[in-house]
Amino acid sequence: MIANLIELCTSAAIIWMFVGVSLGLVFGAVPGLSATLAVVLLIPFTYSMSTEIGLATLIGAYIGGISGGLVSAIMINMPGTPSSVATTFDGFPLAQQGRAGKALGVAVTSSFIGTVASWIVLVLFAPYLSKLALAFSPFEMTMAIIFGLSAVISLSGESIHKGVVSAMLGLVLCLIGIDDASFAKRATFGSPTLSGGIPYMAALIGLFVISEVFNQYEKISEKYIVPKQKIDHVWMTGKEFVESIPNFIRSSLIGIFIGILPGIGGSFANFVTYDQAKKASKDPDSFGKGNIQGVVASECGNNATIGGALIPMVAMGIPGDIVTAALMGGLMLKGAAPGPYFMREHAELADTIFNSVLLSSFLMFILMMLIGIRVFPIILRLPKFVLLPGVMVMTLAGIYNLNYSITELFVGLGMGLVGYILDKFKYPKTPLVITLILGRSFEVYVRRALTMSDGSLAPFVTRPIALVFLLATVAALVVPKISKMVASKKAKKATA
Amino acid sequence: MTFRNKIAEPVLLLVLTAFGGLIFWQSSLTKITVEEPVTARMYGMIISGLFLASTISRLVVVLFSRKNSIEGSKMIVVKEPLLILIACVVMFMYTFGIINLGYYVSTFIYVVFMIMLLRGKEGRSLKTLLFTALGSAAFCGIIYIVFKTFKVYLPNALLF
Repeated sequence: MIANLIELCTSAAIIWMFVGVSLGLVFGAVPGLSATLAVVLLIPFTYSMSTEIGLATLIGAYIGGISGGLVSAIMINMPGTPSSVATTFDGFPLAQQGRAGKALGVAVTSSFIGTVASWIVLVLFAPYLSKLALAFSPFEMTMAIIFGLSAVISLSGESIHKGVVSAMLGLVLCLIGIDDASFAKRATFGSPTLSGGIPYMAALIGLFVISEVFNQYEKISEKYIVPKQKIDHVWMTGKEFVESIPNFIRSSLIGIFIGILPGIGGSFANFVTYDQAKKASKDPDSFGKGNIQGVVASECGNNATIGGALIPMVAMGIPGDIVTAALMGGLMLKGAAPGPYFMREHAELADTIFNSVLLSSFLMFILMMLIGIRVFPIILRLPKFVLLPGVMVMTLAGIYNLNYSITELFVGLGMGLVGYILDKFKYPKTPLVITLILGRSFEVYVRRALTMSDGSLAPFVTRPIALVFLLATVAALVVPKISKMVASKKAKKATA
Repeated sequence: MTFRNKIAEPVLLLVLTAFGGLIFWQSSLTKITVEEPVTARMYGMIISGLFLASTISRLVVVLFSRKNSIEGSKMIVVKEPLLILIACVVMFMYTFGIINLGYYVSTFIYVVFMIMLLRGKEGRSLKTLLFTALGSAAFCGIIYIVFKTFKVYLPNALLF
């Protein structure tokens, strides 16, 4: 493995990795474009490369793409990639307070730590963890998703009732289209266009990018989105770093775990890690107002999904998300299909994957801390009358390139307007996004589980892993309430 | 433009309720081919039913909130309503333009129009128009090169 690392560092691979990371960072930083798009667009360029260099380039783009989204999330409140949505919650308030440098530095450091943590787990535990993931039956998957859905409550903002309406709207939108379990058409109103359902990526971009463009139209009298400021204090202080260690560990572990589960990925992980950080915090009320722990959780969690998503790919030949599916496609074109014997038969390629993750994360960290943090904010600090049309232009091109679908363009626009209306009425959009991401998987798993148990709910509590998730869900809902009650009692006693 | 939340939110909730009702009705029409404890039809009706329950209960809360309560006294403010309306119409026209006319032509027209619109009075001079048009052409040229290099696909349309 070390020989492979030295070879990667001394060959053309490191230059191509640099190209991949740079392209990924640019794609990540531009709202509407995504890590997936960066990887997919680079695949044809890797045809003429050796398998090792091609892989290194694609992994570089993957890590750059996931990391780049933090810049626009912090600077203009528009997540560059869906996996950085939760970064806007505290990153943008920090930028508005004149602490953009701090927010960007914390986000880049957390992204780096999340990726390295997932790399460690990838190298040490890949075969064992993928076996654990395979042991998940529909019962465990259902309970894991329910645990994820519990985030809806704490991310509902000022009104849980509004959060529930928003979450249920997401689940209802997931009903539209061909049913994944029985292939029956449901709620399509007889339209073939609606048979494909509501694509969540297009919806997510619409909800968070297009709606924010409309919100900014309302503030057009202010020339720039964030006030002019010096990008300084980008390095985390020793105190900040030490305080963040539990958050790093928690968010990395959650991110890795979500990454392993097929079909969920970084776009969901950032919400769960943010939610858990908020619940674990002594001062949860400061979240959403510029708490750096919110940025740490989101960025550490979404980058940790990278190693997590690669685990089932390397060990079992199962892609963890869309990007790893594209990576697998690239490997198969080179005649090296990942599967249970991949690590034994193609040990060098497996080492290349592992080492590329590590090297790309270092490249990303260096590029962002030395150049990106200073250059991207200048580009994103264009006057609104130039920036907003530019964002719309790139967003529409990005949405179209998700699946080359005109329908998705209109889904993105429609959801943009829905998002704007929800913002006006102060309905939280996060629960809607969470259920849009998880809705279809939830339905498939819950129905499969009930078919397996002949309609009985007992296996949800008798199977150990499912029970653990159930208890974790209950704890996630109850513990913050209890600690809040205890804290308020203590405060009352202190004032008395 | 300002609306009282007590009037505006029920309108939103009625729209959501109607949407939920439509999905409930459509779900009930789902043809079942596989026998399961929970079919696609049943699941659809349960979820849309729960959505209806959540919107209706929220509607009741808002309608019966007191005038001086937090819910009752809130105001919904829409700043720059004309700009929002025009931008919305232009956004859809731009999308139709991309599909029918061509990405680059539509982008050029869209960017010029939006910059002039967003600049307001400041942008209504011939000199500004000229600079805006030149800048937009340069922007379109750059994205053309980038998209061609990276083989970014765009909808096939009549023009460029």
